[in-house]
Amino acid sequence: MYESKRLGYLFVLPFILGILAFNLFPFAASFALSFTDYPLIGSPTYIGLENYEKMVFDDDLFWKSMTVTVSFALIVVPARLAVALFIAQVLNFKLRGINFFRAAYYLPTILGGSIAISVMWKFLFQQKGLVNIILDTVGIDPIPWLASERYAVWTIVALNTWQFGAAMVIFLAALQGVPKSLYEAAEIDGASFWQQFRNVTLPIITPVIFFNMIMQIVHCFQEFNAPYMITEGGPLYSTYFMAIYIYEEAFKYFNMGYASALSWVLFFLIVSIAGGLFWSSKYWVFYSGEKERAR
Amino acid sequence: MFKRKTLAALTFTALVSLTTTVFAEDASIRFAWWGNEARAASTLKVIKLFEEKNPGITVKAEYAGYDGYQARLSTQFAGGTEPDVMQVLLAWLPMFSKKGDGFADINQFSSLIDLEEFPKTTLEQVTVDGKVQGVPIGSTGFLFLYNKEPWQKAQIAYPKTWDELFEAAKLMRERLGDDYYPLDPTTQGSILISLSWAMQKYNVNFIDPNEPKVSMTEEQVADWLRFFKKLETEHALVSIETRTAMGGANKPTIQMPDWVEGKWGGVYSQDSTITTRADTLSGGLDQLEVGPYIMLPEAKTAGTMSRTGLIYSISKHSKQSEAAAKFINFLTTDPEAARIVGATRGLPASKTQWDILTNEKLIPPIQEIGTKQIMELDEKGLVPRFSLYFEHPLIYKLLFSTFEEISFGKTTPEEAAPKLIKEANRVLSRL
Repeated sequence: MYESKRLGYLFVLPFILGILAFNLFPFAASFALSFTDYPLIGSPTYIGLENYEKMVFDDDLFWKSMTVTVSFALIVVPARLAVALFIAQVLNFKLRGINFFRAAYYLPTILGGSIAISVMWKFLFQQKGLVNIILDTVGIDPIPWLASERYAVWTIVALNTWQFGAAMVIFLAALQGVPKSLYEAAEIDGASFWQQFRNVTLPIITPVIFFNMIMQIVHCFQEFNAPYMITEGGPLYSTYFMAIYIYEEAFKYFNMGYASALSWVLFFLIVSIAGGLFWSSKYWVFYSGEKERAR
Repeated sequence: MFKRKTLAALTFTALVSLTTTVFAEDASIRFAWWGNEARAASTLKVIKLFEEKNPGITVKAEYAGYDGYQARLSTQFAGGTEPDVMQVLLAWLPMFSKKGDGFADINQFSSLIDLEEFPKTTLEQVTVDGKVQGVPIGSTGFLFLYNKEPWQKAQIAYPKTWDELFEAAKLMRERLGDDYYPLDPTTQGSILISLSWAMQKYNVNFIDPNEPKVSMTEEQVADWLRFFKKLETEHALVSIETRTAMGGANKPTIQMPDWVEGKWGGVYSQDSTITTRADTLSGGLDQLEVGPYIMLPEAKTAGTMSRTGLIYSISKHSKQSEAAAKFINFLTTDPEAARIVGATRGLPASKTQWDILTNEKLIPPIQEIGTKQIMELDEKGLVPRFSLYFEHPLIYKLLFSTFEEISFGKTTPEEAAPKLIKEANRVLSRL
C-alpha cells in the first residue's frame, strides 16, 4: 500500500514540478522583478516602487491601455454571455439534426484562438474587404474599420463575441439540467415562455452564469492574439490592450521590470473584479440545496 | 516490485546519458537568422556545404521571418539559451551588448576568423569597448526603387528633385486615378524619406551620431514633420492612415494588393532587398528600376541611411564557440559560400566574397545599379553617419507614434516637434 502510494507520488511529480517551475516560480519572480529595473540582458537593479509610480503618474499609455482593456471587457463579457445563452437556449430545443448545429456553433471556438482566424478577420474588415463590399451593396459607404479609432476595437469585439462556443456548451449542459417538472408546474400556472425563462431557467442556472462570467472576464483581460494580429494595437493605440503593452515592454523594449509591474496591476485588477463578483454572488447566485443547508 | 522498476529506470537513464556523451564528441551548433525564402534556401545550402567540408560539425538552422525574431532572441538571451551563431542587426548592439559583454569577443577567435578580410571602418562599427561583437555581413543603403508600369502608363519620368516628385504625384493622380501613388513607403519609409529631405535641407541628423542626444532644433523637427504631412496630403506617398485601413501601416509592400496590381509606383528600399520587391510582380525583376536619388539642389548630404546592417555574433554562452567561429568564417569569407548566397544579405563586407560576386557578375544587374548608386553617393561624401540609437526600438516607437498622430491629424507638426525632442532625449539619456 505504502509502495503504491509512493509510486502515485512519483507519477504526479512531473506535474508538480511543472507547476513549480513554470507557474509558481515565474509568478513569484515577476513580483520581485516588478520592483527592479531589469533590461532583460544583465542583472536587475532594485528601484523600489518606481515602476508603479511611473505607471500611475507618468505613463499616459498605461491609462490608455487600461481604459481600452476595461472597456473591451465591459462590452465583450455581457455580449458573449448573452449570445452564448441565447444560442444554447435555441439548441436546447428538440429539433431534427440539432447535434449538427451544436457542433457548428462550437466550431468558431475551436478555431477562434488561432492566428489564421485573426488573419481572416483582418481581410474581412480591411478597406476593400468582404464586410465593406456587403455594406456597399446595400448603399452604405465603406467604413475604415481598421484605421478608425472608433471602429477598430469593434472588429476585435466582433471576433470575441463570435467565439461564444465554450460558454455556450456549458450553458447548454446547465439548461439540460433544469428539472422538467418545474416547467410543467409553471405551465400549469399559466406562465409564458419568457416568464418561464426569467423565473425558472435563469435562477436555476445562475451558478453557471457566474462561472462563465468569471472565466470570460479572465479571458477578456488577457486578450492578446486578436488585437496583436488584426490591428497591431492601433490605430493610435485604440486597441492597445494591456497584454500587448506588457509583451512589448518586456520583449520589444527590454523593460522586464516595468512589464512585471504592469502584469501585477493587471493581476490585481482581475482578482479584485473576481473577488467583487464572488462577494456579490450571495445576492444573485442560487445553489440548489441551500435552503436545506440553512435549516 | 518498486525496487525493480526504479532499477530499470536508473539503468535506462544511465544508458541515455552514456549515449549522449558519445554523441557529444561531435560539435553541434545552432544558427538563427531571419529573412525571406530566397535567403533561407541559399543559407540552408551553405550549411550543407559547410557540414560536408567540416565533418563532425552539425549546424541546426533556426530561421523565421523578421516579426518576432528579436523578441524570441531577447527571451533566449534572458535565459542564456541563445543560439551559438545568430544574425543580429547592428542597431541592436546597444540593447544586447551595451558594454561589449553581450556576445563573445570575436578577437578570441582571430586564428579562426580572418578579420583582415573586413574594412577597418566596418569593424569599428561592431566594436564596443574594444571587443568585436560580431562579424559584419554586408552594408545596405536606402534608395528609390520603382515599378516602371504606372510611370510608363502615365508617361512621367522618375523624379530627381522633391518638386518633381510632387509634380509626378499630381500627374499620376490626374492621369491614372486616385489609387495611384508614386511611392509606398510603410511607416518606417515615411520617416526615412522625409528625414532624408530634412537632412538635405539642414545638413543635420535627428540624433547626433557622436553622442546620444537629439541634434535637430525644434524648428528643424517641425519642418521635417510638416514635409512628411505635405508628402501625404499631396499624394506623393500612400498615407499611414490609408495603409492602416488596407490592413497594416507596416505590412510589407509586396503583400499589398495595390502594389501587385501596379497602382503604387515605387518603394523606398534597401539595396539588399531589391530582388525581394519583385516577388509579387507579374513581370518580376524586369518590372523594377532604380530611380535617381531625389535631392534638393545644392544639398550637402543625400540623407540616405547606409550602414552595416547585419552582423553574425557568437553567443558568450556557447560551448562550441570554436565551431561557431569556423562556421562564421565560412559564411562570410568562403568563395563557394559567396556563390551560393549571392547578395541575399546585401553585398558582402569581406574582400574575398565581394570580389567573387563582382568579378563573376553574380549580382542581379538591378541590385548592382542600386549598390553603385549608394557607393557613388558615398564617394561624393553625401551619405551621412547615423547614430546607432536611431534604430533603437524605443526611438522607433516614439517616431512611429508621432508620425501616426500627424498622419491621422491628431496633432500638428508644431505641437509634436518639442514633444518628440523631449521624449527622445529622455529615452536617449537612459540608454
